[in-house]
Amino acid sequence: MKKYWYLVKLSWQSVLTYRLDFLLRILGGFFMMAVTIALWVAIYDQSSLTEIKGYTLTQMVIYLLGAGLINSFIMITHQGDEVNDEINYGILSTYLIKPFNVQLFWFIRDLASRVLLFIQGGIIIFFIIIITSFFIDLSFLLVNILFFLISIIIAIILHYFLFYIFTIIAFWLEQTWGPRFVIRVFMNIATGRLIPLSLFPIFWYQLLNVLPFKFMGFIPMEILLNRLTISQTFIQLGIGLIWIIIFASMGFLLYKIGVKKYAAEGI
Amino acid sequence: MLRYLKLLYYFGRINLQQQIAYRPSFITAIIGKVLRMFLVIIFWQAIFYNIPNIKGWNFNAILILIASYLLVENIMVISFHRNLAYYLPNLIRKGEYDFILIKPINPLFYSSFRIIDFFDVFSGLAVVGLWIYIIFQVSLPLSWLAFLLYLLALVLALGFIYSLMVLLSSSTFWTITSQGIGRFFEEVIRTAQFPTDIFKGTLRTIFLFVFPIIGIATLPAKIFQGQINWHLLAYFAIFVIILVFISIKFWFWALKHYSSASS
Repeated sequence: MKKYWYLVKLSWQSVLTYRLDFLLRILGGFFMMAVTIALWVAIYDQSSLTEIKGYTLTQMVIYLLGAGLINSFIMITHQGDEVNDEINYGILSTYLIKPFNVQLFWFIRDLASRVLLFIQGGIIIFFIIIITSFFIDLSFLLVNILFFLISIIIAIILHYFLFYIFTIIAFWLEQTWGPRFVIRVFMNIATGRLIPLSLFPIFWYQLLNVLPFKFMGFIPMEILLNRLTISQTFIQLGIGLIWIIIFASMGFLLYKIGVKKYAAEGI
Repeated sequence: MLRYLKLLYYFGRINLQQQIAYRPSFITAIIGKVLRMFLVIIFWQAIFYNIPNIKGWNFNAILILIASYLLVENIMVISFHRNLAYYLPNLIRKGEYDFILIKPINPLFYSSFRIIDFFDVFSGLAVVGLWIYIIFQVSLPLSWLAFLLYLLALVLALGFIYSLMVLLSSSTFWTITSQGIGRFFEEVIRTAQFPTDIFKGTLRTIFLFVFPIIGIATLPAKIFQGQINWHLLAYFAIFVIILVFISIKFWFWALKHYSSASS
């Protein structure tokens, strides 16, 4: 395990190289979040409704804050670039002869980046929570917080394995950023980051509800806002775990097939 | 002038050859960008599924706003955005900017237009399609004056965004950042796809006068609908002219502080 801890430290050193970059990305995300909240405040302000599809203004603001935070620290835009380059530029050859599990290395490296991003952004989150608590009630049930944290872990792992599949096809394709870009674009809406999925017209809601993207924003926030019963929460978390098993299995199988046909020239 | 137009042509040819070299990526990138446009429309459909209008903006008015924003964004991304947000910082970080400075060409022009993004040239056809839909489906009387002012507003919007980008990218000569500036800028500009009428108080003052993102899409969209605010248009025009002048001066002043990485 010691070798994987060194990998974690290396990953952190890499992320910490450009601290200003990280800060700018986070600030940009929060800027967009603030404007989206302003939009919903304007919507509630002018309409005679105190609730829209069961969401009060307070709940909507909490939803957007939470979904935005999840998006900032879980959805890394460059995810998969390193693995793609390592396969296509032959760097994978050097990993294959080393005494560690390559797939586990990739997973730990990705996880290490996310943990550090979360820790670095924690200061900003702390201030946002403090400021927001002056305007809205931020008390949640402890059981909801616990299930929310579990759903975040499921979201992180699910996100990793989803993108892992579209990265591991680098064994067959020269570039994989195209499919990853399409998925990322779709996720902007499908995760419920900008608007709760239940507000969509029935056709879109039913479609988005069967896809796994809802676990990366919509479901965690529904849990935190106590909009799901305990049994519904368990069902959703169970479905999330099933998606992880499906994507992980596909990823491992693709890697097994891909590494057999892998060839590196001129290394 | 002719020399620079020729250079633009050659830049375009080289970039097109490079970008279509790998067809699957080229096609999926275009699919992704077209999908993004449709998802923005679906997002607003979801909002208007629950309420009839927002601060006087109904779905048709929002369509015009989105189309205006997408048009400006498309031109921005095709031309200078990636160059100043990503390629320039990368060149500086790798110490390769020296090779640009020794060329007999304006370094700001080269830094701004070296890479022409053909992914967005082709995906821009979807924006054209959206405009065709708006013109035929949303029956709005459009006078020649409103049309010409609309074009002027779009040019001013591009001038505003370009100046901001030049100012932000100037900081790269000191900070040597990677992609943070580009990502931050994208998020800020993306807020222009919301009508600025949703803002109140201090925020409204900021977005109208201090940092007038109203000029990017809201102002052109209102002009297109025949709502011409002459004072605001004049203010934005003067603001952009001054900003363009300041940004270019600042960029060349920042360039003096560039230190090579021993290329």
